Amino acid sequence: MDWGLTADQQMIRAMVREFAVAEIEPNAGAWDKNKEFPVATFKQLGELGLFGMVVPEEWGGAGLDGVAYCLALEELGRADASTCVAISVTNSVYCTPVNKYGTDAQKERWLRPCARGEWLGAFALSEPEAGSDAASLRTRAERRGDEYVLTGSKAWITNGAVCGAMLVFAVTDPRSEKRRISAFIVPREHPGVAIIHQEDKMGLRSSCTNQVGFEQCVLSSDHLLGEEGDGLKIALDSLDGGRAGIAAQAVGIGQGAYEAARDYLQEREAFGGPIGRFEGLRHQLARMAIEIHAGRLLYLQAATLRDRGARNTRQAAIAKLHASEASNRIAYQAVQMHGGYGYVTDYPVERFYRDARVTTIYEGTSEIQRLIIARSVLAAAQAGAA
Amino acid sequence: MNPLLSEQEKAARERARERALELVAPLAGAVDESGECPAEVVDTLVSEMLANDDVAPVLLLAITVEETARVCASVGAAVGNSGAAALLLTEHGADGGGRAAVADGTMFETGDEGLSGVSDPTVMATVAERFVVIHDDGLWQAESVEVASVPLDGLRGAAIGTAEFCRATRLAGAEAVAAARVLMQVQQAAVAVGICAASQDAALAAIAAGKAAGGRPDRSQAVQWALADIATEGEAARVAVWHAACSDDNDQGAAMAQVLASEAAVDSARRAAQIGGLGALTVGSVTARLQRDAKLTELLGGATEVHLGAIADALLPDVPRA
Repeated sequence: MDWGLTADQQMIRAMVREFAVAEIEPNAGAWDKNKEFPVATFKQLGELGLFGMVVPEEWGGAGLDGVAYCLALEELGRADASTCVAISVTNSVYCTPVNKYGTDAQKERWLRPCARGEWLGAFALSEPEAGSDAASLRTRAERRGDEYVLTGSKAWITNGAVCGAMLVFAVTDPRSEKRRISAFIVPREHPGVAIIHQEDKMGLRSSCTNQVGFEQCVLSSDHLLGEEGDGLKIALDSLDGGRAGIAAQAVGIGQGAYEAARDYLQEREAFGGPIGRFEGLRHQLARMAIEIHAGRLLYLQAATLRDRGARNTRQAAIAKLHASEASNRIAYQAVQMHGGYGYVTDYPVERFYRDARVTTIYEGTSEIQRLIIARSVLAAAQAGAA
Repeated sequence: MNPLLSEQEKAARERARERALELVAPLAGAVDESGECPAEVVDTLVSEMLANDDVAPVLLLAITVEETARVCASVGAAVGNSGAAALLLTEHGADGGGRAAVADGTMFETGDEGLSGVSDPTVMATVAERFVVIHDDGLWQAESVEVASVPLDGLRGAAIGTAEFCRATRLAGAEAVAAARVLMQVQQAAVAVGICAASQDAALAAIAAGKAAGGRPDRSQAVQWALADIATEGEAARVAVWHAACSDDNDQGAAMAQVLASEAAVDSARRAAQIGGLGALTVGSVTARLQRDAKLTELLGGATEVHLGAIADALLPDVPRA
């Protein structure tokens, strides 16, 4: 057992932190306030190779392992969760499945541009009436000869309006129980694709979250990712991989909130000195640091398991559940420590508080994580290996 | 980076589990009921641990203690303390042999005669033949000891007592104190992780019993969520302990592990009891014992608040406590 980061992992973390501190952190508040997707900054992030961190070098990516990738997400989350989520979605649930299940021709067309930093990717699974219950999708991909006609709508699509292409999950065989869903790579500019709505969100306000419609969207069969009927497997596998990343993002948000609170405790004076001298607040700060520490160790372990090709479903769910719930507690406490100043936009903690909230919801709610963990523990017990 | 157990470490864990089931599990109920520490069993487990050169000693101690505490927290705590004493004695060149315990405290005095004073309540105190004493100015080896038992309603079989030292000789200087305290925190946290694992085992046993009686508690979301929370808190504590056990530059990691693990133990034991229902609180039940044992992990070796204070001091070095 060795918890030391490799030289490459340390280098990636340092590089992303340097960029985030210089280019993202100073602007995150304004982007949030104006609900502005920072196009110019994303161009820089693309040039740094952050769109294709997990893409192998042969397809133009950085070829990072999952640990380095998660460290990068933590640093982005620490500065701005909105920026972080756009990068996370692109890498975890667009690039990773396209790389894993795509043909060489598909990778050339729809992965390489992303890895080169020209595109962001998106993942279109949820629908207005099917979120956690992914098996009950309604969007149809009807086969007509060698083509599919996509009809329906998708909801909560991060990067929907700003991506180059999205991974869309649709029903191809409504009579099948296990193989009713297939995955398609759909360019945003493809005829029949429409951005219906941009969500006005509580947090992550400078990221794009859209409802996307498909009307007579005709796709040739080379848009099909994997085999027909593989969609649910691809979706669940992608989400498994993405959970460690969301845990890392949540740890980053918690770290940002913690640092803001720590600094405030040293600066703010009351009753004749800095408020950080009071035991109650000191203990709270210590608890915040402990929860961040544990969240970081959990996501590192989950990411390592996946890097080694081992199934990490339980570990990733544990990491996401712990880190996302902890980031909410930490951000709440950071606001509390700031008093009235925590409730206004002059300080970043109210943004962290709003941004943390969604981490217990997206890529599997905390309730779904608990079911995944419990079923895993029960199954292991059944097999005699809890 | 490899934050996963190696094959050798997994084998050591498996071996520790087997030995705990073989030597400790049959005694667990009686140890709690009688309050008597099975010192020979502790000696055996410690000597077997010391004989393993394949795994880093602090991690091996953490693994061994967790697996032992999973079947009996009292014996786990005893193995942890006695194992830590053996490691410290070996590291600092003291003669081997004899059952040892580590004592810490704030009531010591040092002078020309060496160290004297009364320790804090110490695991293994009533059965130890010699002591490693941790004082701010160094590690000491006690030569003359008076021991008083401390009857606590948890870890009843851990031979907890206070030790009064009339004379002690120096084992190591102040530079050894921080590492010794980290070692103690790691093994104490490992006891709590063992209680978390035992709570999960108890919850699963209650679910199996419910199924055997014709119910399906495994399909209850309330039960599933409680089980998931036990697993999550236990795993968070476990990685923190492993990390602290492997880190040279600890930076409060061991104190963090102790807070996490002890609070997780209390929560997990409570959740396991809730899953078990009234039967979980009958006298002599495993779950009732787990709850009593878990609470002590938040107090013994420094209350949670003491650790939080130390962690906060490190986080806010320029702002002294009020």
